[in-house]
Amino acid sequence: MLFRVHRTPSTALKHTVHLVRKKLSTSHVTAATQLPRRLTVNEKDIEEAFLKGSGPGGQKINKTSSAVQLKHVPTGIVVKSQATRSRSQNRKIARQNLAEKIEELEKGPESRTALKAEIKRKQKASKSKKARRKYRALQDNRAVEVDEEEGTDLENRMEDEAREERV
Amino acid sequence: MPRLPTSLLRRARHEHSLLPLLFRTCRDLPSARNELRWLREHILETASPKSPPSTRHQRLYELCLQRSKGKPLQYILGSQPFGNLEILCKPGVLIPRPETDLLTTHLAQTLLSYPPLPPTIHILDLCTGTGCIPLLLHSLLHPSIPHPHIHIHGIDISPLAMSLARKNLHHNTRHLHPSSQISFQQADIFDTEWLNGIKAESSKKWKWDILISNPPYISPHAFNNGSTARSVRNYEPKIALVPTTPTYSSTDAPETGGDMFYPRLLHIANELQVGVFVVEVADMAQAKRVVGMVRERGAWEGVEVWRDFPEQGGRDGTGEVVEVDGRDGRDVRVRGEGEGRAVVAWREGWGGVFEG
Repeated sequence: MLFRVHRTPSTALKHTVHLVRKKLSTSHVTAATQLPRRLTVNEKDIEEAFLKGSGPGGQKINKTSSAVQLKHVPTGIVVKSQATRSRSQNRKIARQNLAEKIEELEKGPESRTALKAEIKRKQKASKSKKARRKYRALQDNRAVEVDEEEGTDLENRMEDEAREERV
Repeated sequence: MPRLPTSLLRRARHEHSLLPLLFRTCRDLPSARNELRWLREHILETASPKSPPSTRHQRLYELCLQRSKGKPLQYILGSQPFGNLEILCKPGVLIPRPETDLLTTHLAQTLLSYPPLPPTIHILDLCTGTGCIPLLLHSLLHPSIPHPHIHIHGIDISPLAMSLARKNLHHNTRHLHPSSQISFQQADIFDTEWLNGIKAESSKKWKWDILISNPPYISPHAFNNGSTARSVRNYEPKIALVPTTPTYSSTDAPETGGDMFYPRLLHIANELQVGVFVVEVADMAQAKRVVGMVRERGAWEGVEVWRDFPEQGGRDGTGEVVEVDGRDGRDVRVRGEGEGRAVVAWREGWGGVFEG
């Protein structure tokens, strides 16, 4: 998610907002926790469904159907992706999602997904605490413009940003 | 075109004020949502850092308005993903189709599954347009060939297409091998002088191995009867879609009016003694007619038809289906699922690649 933050020239804060990883002191799961290896799925177990609309194709149509649907035959899990315009890219994304879902099914709370979610939750809690502190101080001292297009509160966007942080 | 339900439009509008605009062309909510997202991403990627949100919103509105009138997304965004490549697009040149992507990919996989491939392959792509087929073929073949000398030459009648093809070559360099020999030439494939020239080029030392083409194949009838999308009709170059040739004027024959390029392509394949002949077609009916043309010439050892998804379906998932009733009453092998999409013919010596 991209957004532009407009600052009055007099603010001391930099244009780009840096995501600071705060060291987490409580709980066994920290940002430094080693995630287990990604699960590699056997190609033979994956079926790709080719989603094609009815009607003519080829030169007669120029609408791109880039959706990819993968099914893991042993578990019956189905994953669909149309995140990008590229079918090959969507295939990669769908494969990753499929692997994650299979692992979730198999490993439950010890899966990569569960551990990642826990790490993110802690980082967000810490990040939003810091953001609130920062912007409370800002609002006390100066006016800050709100991005008209997004129309959301600056603080909420900071929290969104924390949520976006990759693990 | 069926009317869109008001409730759906209302829902769309509630989600984002510009969604109803996109709806006019997209016709379903998920597509409209996706296109809105891609248009926004495009604006953010191409906006100058100093531009205020109001400018960007204005630009988004403009692009949605263009799209609502049917302008292809690929012309608005300027590109179309094709395999792992990004093919630049512009009005005046046909937009690469996903079906072409699939058949080109399948051709590459078929060639690669029959080692060893010779280090030197000569491929001729006629009516190349954006150059997508040569570029994709090269990118898929070279990683599996040690010291590859893949010579691919693309021809198109349009100077605009050739200039775009050269841009695409440049744009996708990182997917190509440094020793790649990819060239583009503006020419009319019906021109005798051009054919003599290219025939002379390949000599006793080498011959063109593969002739591939996605020629204009829509009959004038099919162009006007509603089966060709409005966006295609109004925005893409007709010369790339509906064949007109020097010797034939537009025929009213509803079915065969789109077949006009295939005899010429087969003639060229013969003159150049090409080993493999691959052409894209509109549908199964046209595929069968082209199979008939291939067999009539008697020069080809084998011929088969590929559907849209050549690797799917068939018995045991092998993607093989034998279908009765080729044009001359004989069987023709049909691979995959979907509509009939390509006719593939090969000369003696290449049978192992396709029949194995």
